[in-house]
Amino acid sequence: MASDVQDQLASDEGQSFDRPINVSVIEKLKKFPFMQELGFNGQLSFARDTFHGLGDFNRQMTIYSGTIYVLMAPFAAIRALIPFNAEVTKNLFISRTLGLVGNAFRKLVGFDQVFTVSPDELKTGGSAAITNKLPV
Amino acid sequence: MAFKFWKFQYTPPKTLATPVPEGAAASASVPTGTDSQAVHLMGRLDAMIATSAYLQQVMLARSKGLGVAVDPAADPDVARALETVYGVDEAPKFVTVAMYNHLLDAEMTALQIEMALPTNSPYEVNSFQSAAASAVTAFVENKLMETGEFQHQIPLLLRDLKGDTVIFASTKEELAKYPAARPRPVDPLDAGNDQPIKARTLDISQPLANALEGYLDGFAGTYASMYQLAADVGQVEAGIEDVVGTYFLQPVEDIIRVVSLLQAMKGLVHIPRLKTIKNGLTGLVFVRLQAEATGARCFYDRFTSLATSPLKSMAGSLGNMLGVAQSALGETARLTQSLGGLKDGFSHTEGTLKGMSYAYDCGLPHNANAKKPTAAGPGNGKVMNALGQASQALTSLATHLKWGMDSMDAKTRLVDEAFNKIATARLGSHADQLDLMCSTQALDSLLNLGRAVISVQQKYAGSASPSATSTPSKQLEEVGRILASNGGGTGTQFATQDGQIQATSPDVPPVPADVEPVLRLGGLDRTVPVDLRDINGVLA
Repeated sequence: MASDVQDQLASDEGQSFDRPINVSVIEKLKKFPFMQELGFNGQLSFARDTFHGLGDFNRQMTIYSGTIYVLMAPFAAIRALIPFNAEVTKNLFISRTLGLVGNAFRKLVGFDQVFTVSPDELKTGGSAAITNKLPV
Repeated sequence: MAFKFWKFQYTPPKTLATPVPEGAAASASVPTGTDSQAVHLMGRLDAMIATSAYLQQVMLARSKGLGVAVDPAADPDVARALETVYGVDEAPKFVTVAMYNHLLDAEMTALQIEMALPTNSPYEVNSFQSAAASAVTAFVENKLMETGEFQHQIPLLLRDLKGDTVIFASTKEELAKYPAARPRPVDPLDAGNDQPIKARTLDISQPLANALEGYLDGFAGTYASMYQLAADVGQVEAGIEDVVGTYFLQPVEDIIRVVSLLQAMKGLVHIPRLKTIKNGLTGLVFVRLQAEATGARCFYDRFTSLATSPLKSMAGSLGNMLGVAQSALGETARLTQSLGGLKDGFSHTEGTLKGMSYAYDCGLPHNANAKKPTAAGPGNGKVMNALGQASQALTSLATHLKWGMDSMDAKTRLVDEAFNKIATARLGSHADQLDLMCSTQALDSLLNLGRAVISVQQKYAGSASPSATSTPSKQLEEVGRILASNGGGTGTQFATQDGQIQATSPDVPPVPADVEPVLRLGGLDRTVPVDLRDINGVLA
């Protein structure tokens, strides 16, 4: 489907999105930690499969447990779990536009917002609608 | 022994009956200064905001069913931006004009929040959200512009109208800061007296009021043109029968050439020009610039009225004081000289009154060697030094004040110039866009009529009995039917009646009562058809 202009869209097309959008206001201090979180979440899919610590762990534990017979059985019990890297995997989701990324990308709308302002509030209250919401 | 109980009896003191005065609370907020220039301008701004809101409804009514398809494979950035704005995992497949309208609202809200937040505020607008909204609106605008169709250019006016509303609202807030526009309690002591403190009744200065009136008149003209462009029958369509008649006189090959030429002209001239206007600085950046320049202009106006102008009269007083000090200095010098002469006269060894001082001790020096009073003498010297120093200090003060006032005047002129330039640029950008849209509307009408005529001529070119169908009225009727079925391409509705094509205006909401005066002021006369060329220089 190409991105084209359509003249005869059905009246219910995009109806669920036909609503005012509240603009969120955030604390400047929380921006950088969130960017860090985004950066980490952006690489989470790579970490799941190629996490060096996990790869090293798998390789070294294989060598280690292979040397002593009594260690082979317990290692065999956890060996199948290692590639799943469950703690990382459970924080991932598939975005149609970004691919496999961490859950933090779901929070882009109003991440840690302090308050929101709707266009209607500005129409009735003017800029006082914003200043009144600022925390003291 | 029996004790008697103490009895305490309280008798309240007699007090005067003091009933609570009726309406005391109401009188505390009686608005004053309703006849001030600032209040008058605020009323005009309200009317302009209402007109802008109405015109937005007109544009939305004209854009029903219009939207831009979003392909996540072709435009992943736009799809991602939509997911961000709406907080969904799957972006909508279309951005309708109604959605575009809300996105523009969000963009303008973010702009207003940024303007309202104080400097060094620990808060800010969520930049991910506002950037995403801007990315989607820019995408929609580019897609709408690229088609080159007049119908698709109508929603583009929404951004201009919303930007204007932000400017009007900001200007209104600035005007409300003038004390004359503020509600203040009615003080009985003030009644009938001139306010000794000017700051309590300060109103907008006449030059600035005139500038704002002119600015709003310019917007009224622009809005009248916008209304006419979106809600009335186009210039070409108004004379449809003449145009169709002229087309029918031409060979079909020539009409095909004309249609191709007009189509090419739109692509080569109109689309790039419209993109230049829309993507220029006058879009979002100018809204903030304009709003802030207006705020600065009003601030300087208040400052000039409250501080600089009174200082000018004070500088005049300083000049007088300086003159008095200098004259006192001259008097002292003359007095000193006279005293010197008098001493010479009183000396007992020489002079006209020689010897008199022996008989009568007048307290003056008695011999020629005694020191004469001079400017450097102990008493006179002090007076003259003090006067000299006072004169120097006053001169210095007057010079500094003049320098300060001249600097302030220069700054005010600079801000005034910036305000006027920005205002002219915004109105000019509106006029350019409307001019271009008016031209596109005419070209679209000519193209659609040309295509309809080509279709009719080609249909009857191979007819076995051309005489039965090729009469002008039959052909006109056929063209009318084609236009009625596919529309004129500009929103005008066509109907064929009694062999004549009738063009009717698009369906738009009725003009509200508070908007009518603004449109009329802008040159729109709804009782007499007005040539669009005569309004505000559009296509003039």
